[in-house]
Formats: sequence, structure tokens, C-alpha cells
Amino acid sequence: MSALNVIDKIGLIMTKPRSAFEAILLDESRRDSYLILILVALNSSLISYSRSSNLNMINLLYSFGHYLLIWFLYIAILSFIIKRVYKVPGGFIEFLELSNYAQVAFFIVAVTSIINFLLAPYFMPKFDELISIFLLLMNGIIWWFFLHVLLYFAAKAYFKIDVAQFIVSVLISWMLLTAVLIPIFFAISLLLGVVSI
Amino acid sequence: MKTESLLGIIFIAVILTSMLLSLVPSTIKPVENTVKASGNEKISSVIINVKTGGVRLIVNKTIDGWFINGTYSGEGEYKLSQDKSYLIMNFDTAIMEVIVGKSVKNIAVFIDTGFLHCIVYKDNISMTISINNGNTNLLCVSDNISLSLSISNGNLDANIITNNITGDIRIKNGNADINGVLSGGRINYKVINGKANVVSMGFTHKSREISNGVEGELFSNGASDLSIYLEDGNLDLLIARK
Repeated sequence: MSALNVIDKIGLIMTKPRSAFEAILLDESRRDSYLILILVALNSSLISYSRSSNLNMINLLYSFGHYLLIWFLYIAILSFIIKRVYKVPGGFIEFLELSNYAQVAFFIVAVTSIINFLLAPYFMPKFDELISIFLLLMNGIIWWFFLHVLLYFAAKAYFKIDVAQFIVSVLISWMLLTAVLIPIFFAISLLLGVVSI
Repeated sequence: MKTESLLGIIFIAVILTSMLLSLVPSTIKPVENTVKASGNEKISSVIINVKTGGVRLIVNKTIDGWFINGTYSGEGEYKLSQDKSYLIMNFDTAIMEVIVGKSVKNIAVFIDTGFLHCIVYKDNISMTISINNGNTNLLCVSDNISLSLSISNGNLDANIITNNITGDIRIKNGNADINGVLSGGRINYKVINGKANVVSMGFTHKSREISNGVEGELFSNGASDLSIYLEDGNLDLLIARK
């Protein structure tokens, strides 16, 4: 795993996403994808807490763990659904390593956060709260869409499925993920005392 | 350098910059300013307008002058009117303590989201309070009060000890705790989507349930229903009865 190799792969995903995942699949070493995942998860946690005064190690680890847990569960469920419904062969770890590269989509959030950090002190007071929420929502939607486009290319390269099959799998996965995640997060939050009954 | 390598480097740089910026408090949190000011002017009116935050307001009975102490972010300013009779405060986000002297006759507080702690010792005062989202604690130990209080999405805790009051209290989506030791005047209150807990001495209390809340009235039976305080100027008063 060389740093240059990771950088080239990221660049390839950003320029030619369709062929990038095909090329990465042929590459034997895909462990570097975890580096991208960790970087993105850490960045996401920092952005989440940057506006609050509660930035401490526990909150950071909690948020970091949240991100990784959601991602692992999501990819596990997605890979399980694709394999079961469309009877295609494949392993979870291999698909996870390939899917981790889809985290490059976080680029959009990072760019927005930089703009936000630099310009917010000058412009945010003039923004209506509703406009801020709308911009945040739009940013989230664009990121989600971009992430799933990249995830589709990863699934297409690995499982050889088409768009319709991918959309059906994503929909089922999200439904299952919601059913699994809500009780888990509720239990963790209860354990940490974030919520109380 | 290949385009792919360049884009990859940009990606890493953007991610690292975003992380670093998240860790630098001054770039991620709104700039907080401190305001501390005072004066000896005998102001007659105080107008406080705060979008988000909290205000602690004390109206003194014995001393003159005014004093402001607090922090704010976003846009904000305080100013005295040209004739030095009005103190006007406009702040986006602020936590403020405001102390004013016995010359004050009118108070107007408008808070969009936040709280108000108000203590009034001074007699002969007119108060207009409007809170959109937040709670109000009000303590009045003064005579001749004219009170207009409106809260949406919040609670009121009012303790009033007075010889004479004319009050109108409206709470929407919240509860009202009113404790009064009163001897003259009238208070009307209406609480929508909430409860009213009213304890009073010296007044007759009538309340009735309405479809979505409760409304009531505190009024004195004596001759002090009409009380006029006039510090200066003239008053033409005509009372007619059928």
C-alpha cells in the first residue's frame, strides 16, 4: 500500500468512476480503502461536533463509532440482500473494501464545510435559520446521491448487477437498516445516558 | 502530474483542511463580543429586542442610571435616544444583564427565542413583554403596574406583590404560575394549550375552562378598581354610567 497508489485511486474515482471500480477490483491490495473510510468518518465526527461546545474525546469517539457502525451495517445488509435476492456470489469483506472507496463522495461535504467555516461568521447571521436548514438538507441530499452513484459502480463491478437491481437492494437495505439501527442506537444512547426513560 | 493524482491530492487536502478547521474554535464558532456599559442618564423607557438569548432585567427603586453587561454574537447595538430618555437595545444573539434606575416608567422586552428574568422594584411602571419561544420569570414588588405579557411556546412564573395592577397575560403552548398579593386593579389571563396555577391574596379569582386551555380574571372588589397615577401633565377624565 503506497500513498501514491491511494491518491491515484481517489483521483480515478473522481474522474472516471465507472471504470475506476473495475480497475480497483483487479487490484489485489484494497486495504487502503479503510484509510479513506477512517479519514471520512473522523472528518464527519469533527464536523458534527464543531458547532457545539461539546467537542470532547468521548463525543468524538461516539460519533466516529456511529459512522463506522452505520457504514458496516449498511454494506453488510446491502451485500446480504444482493446475494440473497439475485443469487450472485460474493464476500462481505471484499465488497466492503471496494465500497469504502465510495466514501470519496464525502468530498462534497468537506468542501461545503470549509466554505461554511470560512464564511459563516460573516454571512450566517444574515441567513434565515430556515435557509440554513434548507442548504444543509440540500448538501446532504447531494452527498447521499453521489455516494449511492459510486456505491452502484462498486456493486456493478463486484456483483454485476444493473441499476434497477441496485435501487431495489438499496431500498430493502435502508428499511432493514432502520429496523436494526433504531433499537441499537437507542440502547447505546440509553447506556451512555444520552437519553433516559 | 496526472489528473488523477492531482485530484487525489486535492481530495486529501480538502479532507485534512476540513478536519483542521473543525478543530479551530475561532473559525467554527460565531465571534462573541462583550458589552459592558453604564450611564447616569435618567432614562424613562427601556426597549430590549433580542432574537436569541436571554435577558435579566432589574428595575431599581432607589437609584438612578443604567447598566448593561453581557455577551453577544452577530449584529447588535445599544443606544440612547437623542434626548437621553430612551435606552434601546437590539441584539441578534445575546445574554444580557440590564439594570435600570427609578426614572424608568416604561419597559418593553421582545425576545424571539430565549428567556427573561425580570425583577421590578420600582412603582408606577408600564411593562410590555413578548416572548416567542422561551420562559419568563417575573417578580414585581411595586405599586401601580400596567402589565401586558404574551408568551408563545413557554412558561410563565410570575410573582406579583402590588397595591394596584392592570394586567393582561396571554400564554400559548405553555403553563402559567401566578402568585399574587394584590389589593387593587385587575388581571386578565388566558392560557391556551397549557395549565394555569393561580394563587392570590386580596383579589377575587374567577377562572373557566375553555376548549383548549383556561382563562380567568383576578379583580379587586373595592373602590380601587380605578387608579390613576399621573406624574406630570394633565388628565381629562369622563366617567359615564347608564
